[in-house]
Amino acid sequence: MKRAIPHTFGLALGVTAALLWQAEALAQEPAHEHARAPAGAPSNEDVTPPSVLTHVDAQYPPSARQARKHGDVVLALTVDADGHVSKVDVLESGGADLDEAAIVAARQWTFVPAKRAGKPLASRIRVPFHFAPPAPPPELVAPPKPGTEPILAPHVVTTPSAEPAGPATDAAQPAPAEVRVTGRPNPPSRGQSDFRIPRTTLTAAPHGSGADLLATAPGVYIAHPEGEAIAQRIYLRGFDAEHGQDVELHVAGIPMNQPSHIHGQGYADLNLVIPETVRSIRVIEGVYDPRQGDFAVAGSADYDLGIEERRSRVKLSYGSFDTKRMVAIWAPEGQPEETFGAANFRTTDGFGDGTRGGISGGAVGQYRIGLPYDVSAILHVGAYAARSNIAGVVRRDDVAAGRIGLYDAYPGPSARAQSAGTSRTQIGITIDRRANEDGSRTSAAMWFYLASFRARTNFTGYTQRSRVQPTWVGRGDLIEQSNDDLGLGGSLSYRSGHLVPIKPFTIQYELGTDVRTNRVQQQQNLLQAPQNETWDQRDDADLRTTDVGVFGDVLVSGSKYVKLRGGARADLLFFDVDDKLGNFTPAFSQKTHLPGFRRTASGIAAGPRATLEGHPTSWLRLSTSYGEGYRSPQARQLEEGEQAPFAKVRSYEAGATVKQGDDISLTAIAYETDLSYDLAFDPSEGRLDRIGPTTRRGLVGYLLAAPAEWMNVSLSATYVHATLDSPPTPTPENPSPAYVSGQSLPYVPPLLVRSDVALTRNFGTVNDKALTWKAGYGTTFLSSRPLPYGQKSPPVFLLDATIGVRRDWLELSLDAFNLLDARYADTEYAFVSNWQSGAVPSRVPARHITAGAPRALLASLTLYL
Amino acid sequence: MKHHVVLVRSFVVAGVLALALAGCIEASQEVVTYDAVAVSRDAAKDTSNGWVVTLSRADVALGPFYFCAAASGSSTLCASSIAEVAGVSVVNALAPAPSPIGRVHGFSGNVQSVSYDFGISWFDTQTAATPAPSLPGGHSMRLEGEARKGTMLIPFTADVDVVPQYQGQNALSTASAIASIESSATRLEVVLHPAGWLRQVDFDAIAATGKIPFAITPGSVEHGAILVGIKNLSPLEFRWTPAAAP
Repeated sequence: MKRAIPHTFGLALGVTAALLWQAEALAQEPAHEHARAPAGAPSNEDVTPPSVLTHVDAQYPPSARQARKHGDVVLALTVDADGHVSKVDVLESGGADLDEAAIVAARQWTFVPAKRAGKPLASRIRVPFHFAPPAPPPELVAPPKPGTEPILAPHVVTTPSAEPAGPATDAAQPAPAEVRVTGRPNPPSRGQSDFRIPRTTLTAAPHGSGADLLATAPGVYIAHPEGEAIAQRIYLRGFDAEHGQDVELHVAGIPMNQPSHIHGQGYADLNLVIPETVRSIRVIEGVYDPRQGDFAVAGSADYDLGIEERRSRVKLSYGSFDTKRMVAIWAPEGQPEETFGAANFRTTDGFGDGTRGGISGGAVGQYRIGLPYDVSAILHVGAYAARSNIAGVVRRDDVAAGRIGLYDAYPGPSARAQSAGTSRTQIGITIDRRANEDGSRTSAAMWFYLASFRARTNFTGYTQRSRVQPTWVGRGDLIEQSNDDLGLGGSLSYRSGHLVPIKPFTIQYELGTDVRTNRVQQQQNLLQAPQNETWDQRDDADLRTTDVGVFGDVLVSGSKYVKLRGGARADLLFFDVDDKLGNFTPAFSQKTHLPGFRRTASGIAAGPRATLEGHPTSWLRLSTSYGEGYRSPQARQLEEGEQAPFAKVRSYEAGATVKQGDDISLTAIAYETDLSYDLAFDPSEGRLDRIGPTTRRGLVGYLLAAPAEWMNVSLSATYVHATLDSPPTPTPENPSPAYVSGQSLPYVPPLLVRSDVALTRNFGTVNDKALTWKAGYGTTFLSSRPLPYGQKSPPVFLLDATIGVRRDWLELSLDAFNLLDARYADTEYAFVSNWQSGAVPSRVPARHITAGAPRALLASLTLYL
Repeated sequence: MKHHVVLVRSFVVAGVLALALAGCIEASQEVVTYDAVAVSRDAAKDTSNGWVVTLSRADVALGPFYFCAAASGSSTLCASSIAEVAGVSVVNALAPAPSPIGRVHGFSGNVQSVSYDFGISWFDTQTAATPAPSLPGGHSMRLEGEARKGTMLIPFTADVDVVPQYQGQNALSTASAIASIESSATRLEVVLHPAGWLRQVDFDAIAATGKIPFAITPGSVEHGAILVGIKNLSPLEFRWTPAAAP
């Protein structure tokens, strides 16, 4: 059965290719006039070109839809000394309607003005617009195609090495400097499962944290079983990605996954993200982009930060469970969206019986700088710290029997001593040089972070026995984990211009490398509450890991009807492990050596990724993709000299998107993901253990619609059949393992439906100022989730909603989380525990849950400055 | 717009299919629960060294029972049981009819071993072995009867404590119990032969003491002999039978 799948996928690939070939045969490639800029253009060496602050995408004109018109318009914009567009000239016409659309958009752009010797001056720039009716990826502003470059006026400056230009306001001065800009193009699409979630969707429903924003992507569910000082748990399209083990996460280009984290491989705490600062999230579900590296198993998510509305503000919130939150955002006018500062503080008592209180806070700041030679840089600084109590799990049978409340914690000191504290500080700089003439681009980035983690959790009550002193037993399974991680890394990439080796084919390639190295100190002990005395040691290790990744990516375009994107990636990983408790001598054995086991290991992971994409008609986009990715191993689990085993993943998908302008798009995807070995949560150790290879096959439906100007709808449904192919066999140590071959993958909901609806409308005035009303909601449906030992959890339906009104500088809003007050399990497990809730402890694995939050309200007052 | 209609319809069909499939999660292991009963076999009489032992009373505390899929049911080797009777029952081991001892809760699958207590347990969280509140006189069992050899007759009583040796262990740390449980349509029978537990008791020595009736108490040599009988000579047997039709 397994062998049939590649065949099926191959068939889909063939069908797609055939459709594209047919479309190609029917299409007429327009001839391009080749023109070259004349040599000897004057230069302005000390002129800093203007850079875009805000850009507005041109709207494809309705009048052109009928004819499915494609076209390029090149405008010359005169940017005055205060950054506004004072004059627009059409350098290259695409027709009256396209010209008009481009002019309307361009007049709304704002810039950091060109500068000479630090003083702003007027300048003249060239802006190309490309119009395409199907608009597969919304690349309305794209680099110019080779051969379509217009002839430049002899007096203009095309590079920063050109002659300085004088102010346009003074007729006696030289003509304004001309510089080319392209705004902020979206990255090339990697198949149908490459989703860019816009802020409209992100803000439709209320979200309690930056991690919760991910739930707006198809097939994603976010849980918070361990409070706000421990990273979210992510479910993505059939993967229980735990705290990040299967999802590569970046925030502002800085990797968030922490390799070999004691709490779980790839641990990534997104609580650093302040939701108000997220401009969009790019989520790739699958491994189809050569840039995707370690942990991109289920996919990847990249948080793009920026503040669109350039007004500073303060937001004060108060709500259920004595929750207080304050957010301050600095977003001065005249600066690009990427330049902002934000700080966030929150305290709460939490729901339940007083065991979920927490304090958290953080700050994120970015500054975008325009530099000479078409170079721009973004500096990023972020920090976050939190401490919270943890209620832990409760047994379902105890809840059903009334021995404990759903939202309560067990009364024993070991249960009541659960808590976590975490902090992370990160700094990064991204430097970009974009040569607009041919679309080439050079990028470099450097980052570092320092992250600390200490958690005390107890999942199993009183079942553990000391390994150091085996007669010590029943002192409470309070697991203390600590992890201190210093990460340092960077990346460098070069993307070529569009090359034309053979007409009509164009090629654009990109070569890149990214490196990272980590120094990790980690420990795991058992503590006896309430004094938290250490009564057993489980782990004590120093880790050094290094990852060197290289990738190549090629875009081959036969015409506007068909594109092939693909490449390969290879990673070298090196591990140095100082396992201080290795070679442990059991208490009943005679000591022959001192504990400790130092070892090194390394390995290489490599794999191709490719997407074939076509637009056979103006309204249809077809694509099929294949990719291979990997997840690095837990360093502590490696042996000396071991060729580091990687969890290899193979992703396949085929899909179609039907789009009607910007009003509606429908996407359907069929996919399969094969993983060579998976990990699942082991409650007795509070971390992840191997459970063997797994397979996921599924379907995704995704609808985006804007039926009215004031309404945006996002609806997705993801079905997955996820199975365990070959779980660990019974052993004397584990005679009745939780998993058997072919069973459904535990914890993963087979069906996940998500909707986000946003309504924004002006209605009414107060003192001649318009009132802007906003309302929205998000719903999540999880079907029954399979659990270990053949059990199932009940389905879950959640509704979050928000309503608010704004008048100029004042905004009031009310957020409701779990509006229907559903009593549900945020996460559910099955394992053996002893919470002393009965006279006789059970040793049969029982269902345990962490309670989802009950209905919570949060009222906010926002003052815009 | 026609293609939109087709696609929307396709989505609806796919959605319905997905909902239907989502309701079809296969369960690899079934949760099972069924009755457990104590059954006496040749309960009252046993012969050893010429002594015929006849019991007139045998109140026995049984449980908890932990069944394991591994060959060793020891709690240190089998932290996760496949089924259990998580309770203590006191039964009349001489009753001719089966005596209910609770319900078995667990999962379908193979059973290979069992560990259990006779009402006195030393759980992980207890500092000492502790009898369940319902025990007969606070002991694991109360036996009364007589031993006869020729013309000699020794009436006796025995208060027996079957105590776990270590914290976190069961009194009988592992014993064989073989079964393959497929569904809840089954019944566990715990077979007792209480008279056989006295097989190692040296009634000749008791007769020599001249103490009549003779009281066997915890800590005595005779008490140790009974423990040998309980654990080694005549241990509990476990058998699974089809559940009786209602």
